Amino acid sequence: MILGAFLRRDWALRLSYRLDFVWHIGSLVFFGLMLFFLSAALPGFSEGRVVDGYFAFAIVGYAMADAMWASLRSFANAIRHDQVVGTLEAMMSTSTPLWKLVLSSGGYPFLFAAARLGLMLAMASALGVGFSMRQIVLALPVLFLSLAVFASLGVISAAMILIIKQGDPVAAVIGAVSYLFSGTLYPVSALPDGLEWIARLLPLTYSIDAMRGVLLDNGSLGDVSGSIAALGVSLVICSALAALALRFAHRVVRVNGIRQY
Amino acid sequence: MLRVDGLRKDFLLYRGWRGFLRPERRTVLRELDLFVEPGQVVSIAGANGSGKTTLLKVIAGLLAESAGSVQVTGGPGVVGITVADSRSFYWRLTCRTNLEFFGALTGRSPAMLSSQIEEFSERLGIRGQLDDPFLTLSSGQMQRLAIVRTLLSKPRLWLLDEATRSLDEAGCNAVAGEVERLRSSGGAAIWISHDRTIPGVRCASSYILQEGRLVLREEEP
Repeated sequence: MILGAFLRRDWALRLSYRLDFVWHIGSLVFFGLMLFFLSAALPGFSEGRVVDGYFAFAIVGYAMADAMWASLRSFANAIRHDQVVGTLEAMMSTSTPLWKLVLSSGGYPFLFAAARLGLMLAMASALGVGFSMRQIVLALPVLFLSLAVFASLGVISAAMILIIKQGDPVAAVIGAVSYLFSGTLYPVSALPDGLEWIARLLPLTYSIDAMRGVLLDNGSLGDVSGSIAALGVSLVICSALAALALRFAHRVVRVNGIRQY
Repeated sequence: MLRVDGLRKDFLLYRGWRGFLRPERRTVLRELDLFVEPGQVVSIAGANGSGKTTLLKVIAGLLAESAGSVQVTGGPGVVGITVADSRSFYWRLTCRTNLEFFGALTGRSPAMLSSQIEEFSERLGIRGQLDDPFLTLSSGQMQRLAIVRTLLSKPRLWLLDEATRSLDEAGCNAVAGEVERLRSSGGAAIWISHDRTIPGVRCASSYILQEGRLVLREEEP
């Protein structure tokens, strides 16, 4: 019921800023087309068993990275918005616990991020990347697991925002390092020797790897079981850290208050 | 209903890089005791910056006490707080959508909320503005809406911080009526106001907050 209240609130707020809503969708289309034209300049690109060329490789990587970034920022942005508007304190004066407020406040942007991901993959399909129904069904558990990991990271980021208000280092560092090392627009094998270990520490690497495995390589879940297992471990670690971070943030904000200053 | 024993509240001030490691401690409330029984309304006055709002926020659980204890009987959700601050609403949403959202956070069902929004808005004289965006309200109407929001949580201990600021006479009377209604049903209220008396409300005790402590001003027989 509380999540529903947040979803209704955010839908109403989004509709009151229609141009922003349209731009969020439009920017995806522009970037997708850019990758499409870029792939025309890179004929003969192949990576592993990928058969659809650079566009298919890059659009899946970018879609997952975009979902991670959006999820990473969704909780923190929502909390920061309520801090600045002044509504966070009003929410916290109700009987709803902080963890419910944080999780629910990221609900709409999180769903929006998932919708953006779906839209990108639909655009990829329209531009010639073939996905069978079997591949889409196999991609769903990878997607849900990935989003759960990203959401945990997002809650850690939100906890940080509760304390330091601006300049969230969690999102900045994880986001930048993931884009650079996780094989989003180029394969991890393209990284200089000695840097690939960084990729192996990042959940996005495994998300992209598993998603490309089922969507582009026509693999089964067994074929990407290593990446799925790594995502599972990431989820356990990140969700535990998220719970600890949120508890710590709550303790800190109750010392000096929860206003935006 | 409420028992505050030896309450101390410190804020930590971070000044510069050195201050980040060794924050300055500023004590706002010290050795503060307060006891409020069911059916009582207590008023508290005090100079600007004396810690009145801090006291209410500690009682509401928004701030942690640095020392001492705050005990409220009745479990979670029993305390409702109204602060004179128009920035605690979503300005582009309608008043009704705002109330439905904050009301849902108190655990009320949508059907119950819907009827209570109508009822409380009628009593506070704001029903005609329910479907207007919040940003179109006057400051007095915003304050009335803040009162309605608190009432939706059905508080048994109501904390009012300058709750009648910006209100006209009819609005003040409506708020006083709501406080009296709560008091007569066995609830309690703490009313922070600069005024010595609160028209229409029978206060059991009046305090002044001075140097972080409550000083009894008068007591009715």
